[in-house]
Amino acid sequence: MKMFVIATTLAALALPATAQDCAKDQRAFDHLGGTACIPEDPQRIVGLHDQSVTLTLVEIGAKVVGSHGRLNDAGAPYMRSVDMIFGLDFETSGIGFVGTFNAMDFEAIAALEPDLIIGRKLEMEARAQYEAIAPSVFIAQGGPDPLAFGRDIADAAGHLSVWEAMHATYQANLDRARAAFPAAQGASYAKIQMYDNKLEVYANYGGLTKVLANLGLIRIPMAEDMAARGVIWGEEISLEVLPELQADYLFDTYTIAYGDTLADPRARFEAALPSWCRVLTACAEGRYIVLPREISTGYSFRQLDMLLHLITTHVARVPAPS
Amino acid sequence: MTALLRSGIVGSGTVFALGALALAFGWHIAVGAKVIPLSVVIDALATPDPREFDHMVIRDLRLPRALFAVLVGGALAVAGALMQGTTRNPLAEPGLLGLLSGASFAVVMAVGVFDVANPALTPLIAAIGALGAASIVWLIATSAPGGATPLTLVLSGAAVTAFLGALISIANLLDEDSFETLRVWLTGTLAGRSTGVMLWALPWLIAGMGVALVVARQVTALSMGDETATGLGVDVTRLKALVLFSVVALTAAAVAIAGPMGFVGLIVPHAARLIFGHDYRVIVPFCAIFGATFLLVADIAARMVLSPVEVSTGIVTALLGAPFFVWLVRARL
Repeated sequence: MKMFVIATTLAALALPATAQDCAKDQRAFDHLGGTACIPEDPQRIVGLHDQSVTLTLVEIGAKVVGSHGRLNDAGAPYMRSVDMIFGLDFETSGIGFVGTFNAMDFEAIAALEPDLIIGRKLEMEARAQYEAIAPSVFIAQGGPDPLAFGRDIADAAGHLSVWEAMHATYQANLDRARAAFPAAQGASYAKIQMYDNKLEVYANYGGLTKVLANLGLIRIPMAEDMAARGVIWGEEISLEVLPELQADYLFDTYTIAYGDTLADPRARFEAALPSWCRVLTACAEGRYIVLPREISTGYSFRQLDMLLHLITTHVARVPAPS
Repeated sequence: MTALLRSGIVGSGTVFALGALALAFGWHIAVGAKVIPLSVVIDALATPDPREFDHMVIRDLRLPRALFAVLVGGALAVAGALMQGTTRNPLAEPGLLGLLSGASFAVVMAVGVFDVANPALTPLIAAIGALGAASIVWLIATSAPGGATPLTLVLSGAAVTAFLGALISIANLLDEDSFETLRVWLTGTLAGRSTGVMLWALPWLIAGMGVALVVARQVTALSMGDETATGLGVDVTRLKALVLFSVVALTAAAVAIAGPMGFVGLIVPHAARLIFGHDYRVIVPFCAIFGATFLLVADIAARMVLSPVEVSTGIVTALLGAPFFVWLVRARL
């Protein structure tokens, strides 16, 4: 009998939460760690990654009380992209700093008394610690639809309708851009970058890849091959295969947070191989487009809209030969 | 008779070693991610055309990289040989005794924390780091019961390397943006290295190599023991100071150019001793040639195995060096 009670208790504990199991004002939410009971309308959310989770929460107007961040050269914490896209910092936004990647401050999180913690698969390593503080959900990234990540975060935060309205606006802008630039359909592109004298070619570069694909541009075969092999971002490639990067458009990025200027990406290429631009027709003909990294990697609708306008402006300025 | 035999070995060894180096150098610039016919390679060297991309690949990418491999491989191998001869420790080399991590730590802190990215200062900073780490390793080993034995030196080196690695990790955690630029360099790489840094490292390399060649004869005496060397008229203290300078200068130059490249200084001197015995007048120059050849071949593997993706050359040297280290420990300790 004793064994039966223990077994039944353990089995009950192992079962996922259902709507009936959750307390009043709570609901069952499916996430990477199973099903959790979370507040219907969370009032104190902690985001475990600045430029993905917190960025989305801020955009949809969720009530964020704490976030992961990074330390700048002076040792002051900041939220990458959140600062640049929405102008928020830890000092003035009311969002508390709860640590850096792999060095989260669990006591600081607990002190904020959150009612919901939202993270990614990467943060699941410390799942038990987060769950001891508040209901925690971990959202999958990198699926076939990259926007699903933001949608699931918005859903957990109880702001799905806001997210859907923003999504509809983005779709409408996209439709207009596609209609305005039919020539972009089927044009090829390569996302390249020279860093520390090494050539990086990207299969995926966050929002930039999403917007380019939405506009109908296609990756060069090398990037397609990387994506097919499951490469998440990109690879360091020998400069010797530079001619294989021939494309109608070349995209590069500069990082404002590192103090880069618009001229730096090109200068890095020239330092590694002075005549690189002559080798790549798109560069020689003025179709080498440099964008800020802070705008290019994220999936917030503000970033996607900015990318949409920047890309269409550049592409319209120097169209690729038909 | 023995002298004649030895001079014969050295003579034919010289021809063999220089031939192997020339072959490896030629191989290095003839192969790569892009297939270039041999005739084009020769044209690129003999009658370069700056408009030809293949010529650019040979002259601007492969040739400098081969040169870096020659300099770094030669420097680390000679540093390892001097360390092994002076300490009579078969496991001594810049990596295992903490000099590489000391030099790397100093460069990482200078660039990441103090924002000192001047290529002219990089070799000096690396030298200070290497010297500091060597001193700490020596102090720890000598204060251990039994003194500075091969085992205590290697253990002290491992401890200092782990400690400095932990400090680098902490600094990285506190400011990941600044340390991002050093991520690949810390694995030891010849890809895309700056000619500017190489030019600033060259005087250190020449000075270190020059001293190594000058003291090589006395190192042979020292390798037989301090008392024997003193009996043969060697000023042991002065000699050790000169060897220390040479080792630190060579390690600093190598680290400034390519980051920490482990095990080159372990494998190559053993190979040289296997062929030429224990005369450091012969071992030192041959280590320079063999070290250059070894790193050229390792770098060919780094460029070709996953082509067009490149792996750090330091990863290849570690893959080759770690099993050799295990064999050495089993065979010689």
